[in-house]
Amino acid sequence: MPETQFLQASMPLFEAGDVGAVEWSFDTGWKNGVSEWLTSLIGTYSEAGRLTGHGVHFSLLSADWTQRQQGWLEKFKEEVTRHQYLHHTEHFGFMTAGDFHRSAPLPVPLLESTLKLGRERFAQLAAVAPCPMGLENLALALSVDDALEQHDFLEQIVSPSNGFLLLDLHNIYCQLCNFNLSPAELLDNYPFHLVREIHVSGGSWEPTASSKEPIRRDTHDEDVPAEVFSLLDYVLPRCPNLEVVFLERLGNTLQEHQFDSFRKDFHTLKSIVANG
Amino acid sequence: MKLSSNTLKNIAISAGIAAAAAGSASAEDIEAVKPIRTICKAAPIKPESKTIKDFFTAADVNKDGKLSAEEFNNAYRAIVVQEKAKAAKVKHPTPRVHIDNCPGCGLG
Repeated sequence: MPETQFLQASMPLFEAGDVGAVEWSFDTGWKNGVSEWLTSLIGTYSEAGRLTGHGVHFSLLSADWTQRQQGWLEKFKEEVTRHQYLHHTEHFGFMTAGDFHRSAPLPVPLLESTLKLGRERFAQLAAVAPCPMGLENLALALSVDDALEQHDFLEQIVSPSNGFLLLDLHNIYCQLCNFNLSPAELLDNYPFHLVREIHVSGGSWEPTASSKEPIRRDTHDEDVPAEVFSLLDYVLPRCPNLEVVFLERLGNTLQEHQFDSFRKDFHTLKSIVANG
Repeated sequence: MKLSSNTLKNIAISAGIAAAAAGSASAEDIEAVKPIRTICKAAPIKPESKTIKDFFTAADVNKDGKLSAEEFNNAYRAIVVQEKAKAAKVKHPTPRVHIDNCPGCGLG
């Protein structure tokens, strides 16, 4: 979002009044600062009560409590007073551990110890946020069992803190692809009553060393696949407490010839939501 | 949500992009912030109304125009298998490196 290409691609949508809400991945701005145009855009949606916050780098399920996480929490305390956020979200999984400094969030299995850790860390976030706090499902899983029980894990983490779920449909799509599951197998028992926000995005295929089949990853760098839109149509009627649906795209992956297809994805999404 | 023309203009100018909202800004205003490139001037895209059945072939859809849960799931699984097979044939580039040297993680 901070990249100018993102604004170039989405400006006609803002000009037409089509964008009902924006989400700010606030911790991406802590290191590099926030440009003037982005500050203005975020401030405008904040004043209208149409801004949500999305943390990326907390690393909820890192086992050790580090100085980095403590620092993140301190900055989060400042962030929640900076704008009028509708709610905040973070990611399931961990992205740092020991000398493993940073990656895409990785999963952990559902165990008594990991659940206890997840509940404690999520409660810390919820205690800071003056608005509802939510958790996003993860694209990656280490086994089909991990994929199938992730929603149970998420529900058990957020429920004691009265939290909610952010349902990322491309992450669901990644698991359908990577574990050869049908939507029913992954979604029939999903705690849809906890879903307050949905993410829709594209991603990419990457080769693996251990298989001839590529894996699907949530890289936010391509157009939205039709299969993800069909998932949106599938889940919308099942989410009674849904507040907002966002289209995600990394600005630095948008070239000028892709602006049209980006806006087309936005309109398709909006149309499905309007009819859902 | 409608943004005021002033807000849109300020955002466009401070980002250094040309946009309809910045129309009343002088060329010097925009030049002063070194515009990167002109925004796409293609005609507005009309919203498309799509439902599940729009994403599947007519053969997947019941006579009443609806997919049963079983049909949806079977069709979905078949499509995913096709997509994976297509992807497996493509020579994939080296994973992208994000702007802050995060190794192609995306955000999730």
